[in-house]
Formats: sequence, C-alpha cells, structure tokens
Amino acid sequence: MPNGPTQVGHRAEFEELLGTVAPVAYKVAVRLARNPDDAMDLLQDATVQAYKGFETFQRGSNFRAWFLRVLTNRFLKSKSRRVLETVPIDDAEDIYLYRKSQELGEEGNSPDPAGLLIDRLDVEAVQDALDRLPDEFRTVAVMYFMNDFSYEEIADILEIPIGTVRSRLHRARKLLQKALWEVGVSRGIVQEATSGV
Amino acid sequence: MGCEGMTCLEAFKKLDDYLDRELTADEAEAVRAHLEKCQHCAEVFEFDAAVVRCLKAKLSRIDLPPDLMAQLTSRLDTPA
Ligand SMILES: [Zn+2]
Repeated sequence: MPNGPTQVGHRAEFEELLGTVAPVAYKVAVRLARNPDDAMDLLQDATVQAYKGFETFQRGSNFRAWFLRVLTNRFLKSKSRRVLETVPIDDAEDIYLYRKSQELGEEGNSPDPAGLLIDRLDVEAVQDALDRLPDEFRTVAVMYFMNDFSYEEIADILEIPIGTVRSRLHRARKLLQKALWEVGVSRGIVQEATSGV
Repeated sequence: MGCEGMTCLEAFKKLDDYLDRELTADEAEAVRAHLEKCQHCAEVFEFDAAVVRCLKAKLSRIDLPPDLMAQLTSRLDTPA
C-alpha cells in the first residue's frame, strides 16, 4: 500500500482513537484471555483486525464500543482458548451465596461471611470462578465487573438488546456466586456447612 | 402500584437494577421504600451489594504494560 497522505492521516486517526481505548481494552482482554501474554496476543490481533476494517467505522459513533466488539468477537472465535467445565445454568438459585454464607455464619460466628469469603479469594481464584461461566454470561460479566460500562454500552458492544444484557447479567451474578462458592470450597477457604439435622 | 407498595418478590427482582442505578426514579424510590421496612430484603441487598463491590475491586485492578501502545502499533507495521 502506498504511504500517501491519505494513508498517513488514516493511520494517525486510528492511532489516536486506539490510544483512548487501549487501557480498558487491555483490561477486558486480560479478563477474557486469563493471562497477560494471551491478553496481549488477543489485543494485538483485535488491533490489526480493527485497522483493516477501520473504513467501516462510522465517524462520530462510539469507537470504544466498536473496538471492543471486534475484540470480543476475536476472543469468541479463537480456537486456542481452553474449554472449561462451566456451571450448569439451571443450577444457580437466587441468593445462593447469601444462603451459604448464612449457614457458614451460623457455624463460624463470622460477622461478615460474604466479605470473608471474597476477601480470602485472590484475584486468580475469582478469575477461575469467572471462567466457569458459559460464554454469553461471561462476556457480559467481564464488562460489568470492569466497572467501566453502562448496560447500554455493553448492549452496544455485544450487539444484543439492553433487556438481554439485564437478564444475562442477573443470571451471570447468580452463576458467579455459585462458582465462587465452589472455588472457595475446592481451595479449602470455606467448608460446606455440616447439616444440623 | 398499589398503596401497599412492593411485595418482597417484586423488590427482589429489581435489586440488581437498583444496585446498578438502572431503574427509573419512581422504581428506585419504590425499592428504597421497601428496603426501609423489610429487613430480610435489606439484608439480601446489602449482601449482594458487598459481593459486587468486592468483585469489581478485584477484577478491575490490572496493571498496564508501560509500552502498551507501542506493542499495538508495532503490530500494524508487521506484514501478516
Ligand atoms: Zn422484602
């Protein structure tokens, strides 16, 4: 491709926009890909793809959502990612962790069992729990817990209706609570309460 | 909405959206009024809010590589 003034301007515009989203995109990539090396590969791959398709980006629309859509799609299509055993969808009741923690609190006299469990789980353990969510819930949860996106922007990134974001997120939270408990049990941080009966 | 306000089930279904400030002002006010008089729902809400707060704190804390942009733009110059 000739490096004419148009290409130079195009590249400069892309880099300027990329600079505004690179930090948050990297963070999303780390949570999706699990580790910094894979995250960088994913983000570099998304950057190349986004640059190739940059003429389809509508000027004045949300570049961050557009770029993260490219990133998420690359992630979902990547063949190399591990398929982990996911939490069964029908198996997450409402207030799961609350009920478990109540049981734990009764036995352990802990004033704040929720904080206790989650504070004692390191980031890697929380990431493990996150990875147990099926993809459609996991992508929503990653965006949500990054604390940087509204429901509306998540809907825009994932190209789903806002009502779907709401329902998936609701489900994702319940699934994650169950997964957190299971990770806590498997790491010996919490123990199943012995039945009082 | 009836003059008795929300039931626990109605409030419960809206707790997540209440926490995320995604309700309309009227809906949020109805949930708030319910939480004020219903200790069980208030406890569940506090619990879920604490869980979300802890998770956000843990999951959003990620160190950025100092040469992030350079690593990205250099890839644009590498022929595929
Ligand atoms: Zn209630």
